[in-house]
Amino acid sequence: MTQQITATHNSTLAIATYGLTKRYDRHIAVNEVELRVKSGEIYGLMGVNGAGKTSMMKMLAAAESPTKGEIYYNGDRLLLDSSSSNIKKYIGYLPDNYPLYDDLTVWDYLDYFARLYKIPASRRRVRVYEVLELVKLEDKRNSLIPTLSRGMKQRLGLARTIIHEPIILLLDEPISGLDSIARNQFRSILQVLQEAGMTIVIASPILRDLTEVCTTIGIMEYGFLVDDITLTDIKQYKTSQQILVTTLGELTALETALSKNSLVKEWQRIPNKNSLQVKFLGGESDSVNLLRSLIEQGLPIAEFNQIEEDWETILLKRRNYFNENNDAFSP
Amino acid sequence: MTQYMKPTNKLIDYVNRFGGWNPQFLREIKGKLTIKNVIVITTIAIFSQLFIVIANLAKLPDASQEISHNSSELIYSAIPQYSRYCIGKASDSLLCHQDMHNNWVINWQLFWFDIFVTLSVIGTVLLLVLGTYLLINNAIAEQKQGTLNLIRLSPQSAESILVGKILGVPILLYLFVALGLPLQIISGLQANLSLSLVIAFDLAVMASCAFFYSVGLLVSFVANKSVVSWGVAIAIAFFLGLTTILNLDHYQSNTQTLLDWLLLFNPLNLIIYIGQTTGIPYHHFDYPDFGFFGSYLSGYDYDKNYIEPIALSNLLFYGKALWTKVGFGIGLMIANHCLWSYWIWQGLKRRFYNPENTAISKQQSYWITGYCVAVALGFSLQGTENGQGTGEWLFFNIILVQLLLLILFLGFTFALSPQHQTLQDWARYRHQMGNKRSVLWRELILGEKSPSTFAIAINILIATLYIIPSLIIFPFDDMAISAFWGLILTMGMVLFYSAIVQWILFSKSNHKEIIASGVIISLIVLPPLLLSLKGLYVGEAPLTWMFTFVPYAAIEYATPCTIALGILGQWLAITLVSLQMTRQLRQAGRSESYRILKNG
Repeated sequence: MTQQITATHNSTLAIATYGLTKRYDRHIAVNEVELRVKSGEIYGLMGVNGAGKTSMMKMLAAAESPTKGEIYYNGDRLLLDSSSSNIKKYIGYLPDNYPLYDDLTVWDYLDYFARLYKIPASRRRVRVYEVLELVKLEDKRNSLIPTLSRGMKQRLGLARTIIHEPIILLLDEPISGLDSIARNQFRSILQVLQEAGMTIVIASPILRDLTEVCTTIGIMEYGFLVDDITLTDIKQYKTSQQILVTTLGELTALETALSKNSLVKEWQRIPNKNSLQVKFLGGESDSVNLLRSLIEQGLPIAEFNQIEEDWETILLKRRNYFNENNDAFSP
Repeated sequence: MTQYMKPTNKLIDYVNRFGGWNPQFLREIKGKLTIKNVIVITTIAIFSQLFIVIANLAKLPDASQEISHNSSELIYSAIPQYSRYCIGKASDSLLCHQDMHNNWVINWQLFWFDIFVTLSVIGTVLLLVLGTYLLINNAIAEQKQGTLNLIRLSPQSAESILVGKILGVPILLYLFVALGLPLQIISGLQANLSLSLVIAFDLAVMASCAFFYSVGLLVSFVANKSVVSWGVAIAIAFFLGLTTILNLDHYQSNTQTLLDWLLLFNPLNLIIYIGQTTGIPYHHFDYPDFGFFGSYLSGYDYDKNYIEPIALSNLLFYGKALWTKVGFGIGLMIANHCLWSYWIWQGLKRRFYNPENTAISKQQSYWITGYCVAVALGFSLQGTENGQGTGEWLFFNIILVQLLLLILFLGFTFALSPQHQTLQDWARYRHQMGNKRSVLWRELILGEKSPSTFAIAINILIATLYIIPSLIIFPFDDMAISAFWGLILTMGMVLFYSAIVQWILFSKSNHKEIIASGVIISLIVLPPLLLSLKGLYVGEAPLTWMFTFVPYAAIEYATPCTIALGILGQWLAITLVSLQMTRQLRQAGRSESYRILKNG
């Protein structure tokens, strides 16, 4: 049932898990997961509630021990004892409930964690200012934490997560419950962090939240990592591009013109519109040639667009493909 | 950039440097040590010290009633005054005298000693009871918020975080007590105590704090419920009261049994001990009705608390009186606290790094058992003062040692038994985990996730092997054989109880700890109670009594055949419970496919 895309071995793996399993009584929350996250990636972990995302994140963050299996960060094994303090230094974990203290100010909170992560005194003040600036909370630095809004608290949580300049970020549902402005702010922060070279794992039940920022998306279902797909995979999918052609004249005339082109594989009519969705095997220059030939034939072409297939469609197609193949083998 | 780094003053610089050493401590201070709090605490501290001094001053003879010496008749018509701090002799209290300059002659030494005692007792009780409460409360709140998890994920060591908590969480309480220290030291010196003894006493209180705070933190890690903070605070208050009374109300001031060990956990017991050095007559140690409270409660009946100032000095360890020298005695008390704090810290570290860990490892349990038996046996070898039947007294003491072991091993059963989930995973994935060399018996003796049955059995074996030679060496007279069979039977019962507890702990119930405690308490309490109610006393049914927690009682009436039957019966019961447990474990460890195939 598991369909795992094996990572290419030549690239450096920031995170690798082997047979990672977490059981709660009879319920298996995470089942034999072989996660591979390359350095510098933003990896989105998608799955409905209860699919095992949070258990997965907790184990990655060393907040919970796995029932079975091993976790490696840049080749070092993560263990839940005093031996892992070096690995812990470069992991930043933001739990879904982003716990904060009620009796501290924003500044003291960040300063406290900066000290916990052993940032030297000479760097500490500067670093706290840096992260405050990044999450746009500079003017709130002397406010008590309970006076902040939800979005600010979440950003403060993120600031706390990155205070020690981790190279791996684990964010569990970081933008759930935020309004669209707060979401956009959060996204732009993530992009800055990725540009700074961090490897980020984000868990979310909403695919759209992930597709906007992620370079790879892994899908969890019933504790299994059933699929993961990278941007490059998507490009491969797009080698057979879809072109939307709209004409002001007769559709049949357009169809005869298209049938003469060897690179056009098939098409279908779009209902209630004078358009065709054309499956085209050629590259970009071929599609330019196609457009030129159509115009030269005197067809009144009003629209000639490449259709961008969205992630959801691609992932859905892949899922259907895998399921069909699995059905073929099942007795 | 440099402007940020410039410290505004030396204090902030110092605090920062200290915070660099321990961020957790700095964080606690920042949350609690606000100017408002400091002013409030300082005011309360100053006023309560004033109150204590004034209350003691009020017990001095009334100066306004000064007798005029102008007229010789007046001397005899004046009302005689009595005070705790006068020096006259009277049948019921102390009559006050005047010197040649018409000043009252006051026993200032006792006056100051009373203030010293009052401050020391209040400080100690506040530190131990309130301090532990505050720490547990804080730790539980952090676990509930989830913030402790974030701290745990930082590269800080468990020691750094937990020491920071212990030093920082009760910081206002420390401030309150520290403000009382100058008066305590001054009053101690005025009462003719040496400075080193006062400091030694304060150090002993600090060692005691370290011990009780560590216990508190461990409790909060194990039982993560708010009600626990109250429970532990009340338990400590009860313990302090009980051991103080045990020390003072007993005619011999120590019980000559294992219970005397408890005295070493209560620094308040040192007060009488160091009080001896002041030269104040024994009957003036107005304690535990300490200070002015006591005087008001007991009126002027100073004869009430006539106690011998032998307290700890009478204590024997393996027949040696180690506590006769005050300094050495205090040192031993501090050592006792430190050793136990060490063991508790082993558990604290384990739970800090991984909350799913058992509180102690199997290997640690063997060391603790060895240590406990060695110390307990030491305290049991105390002869009675009047020398009545040394053999019988030792026999009684050795029973007490085994009751302690019963409590210890039941505690171990809870502390060593992994959570249901861990056990189930162990049974399910044991063959897939770890290296291939891991053999079953090795895992059962030392493994982190394996069931605890075997480890408990080894602990019992260690204890038994340590005690048996002492049955021969110690002067048991003719009781040695009975003591031996009693030992074997009691240890059998302990193993049986422990097997039952593990069996219950392996169930899926959410309240399995409570159920296990309930079952074990009823197994211990009910059988002797029911047997007695039915009129089946030990002499009539020795075999039945062998299945209670005091099989010793039955030895006297049992024939060798009965004893053999008793042992056989015990082991049969143990085997049955263990087999049942193994069966359940094996069932839990079956793979999903097996289960599906069987059900399908």
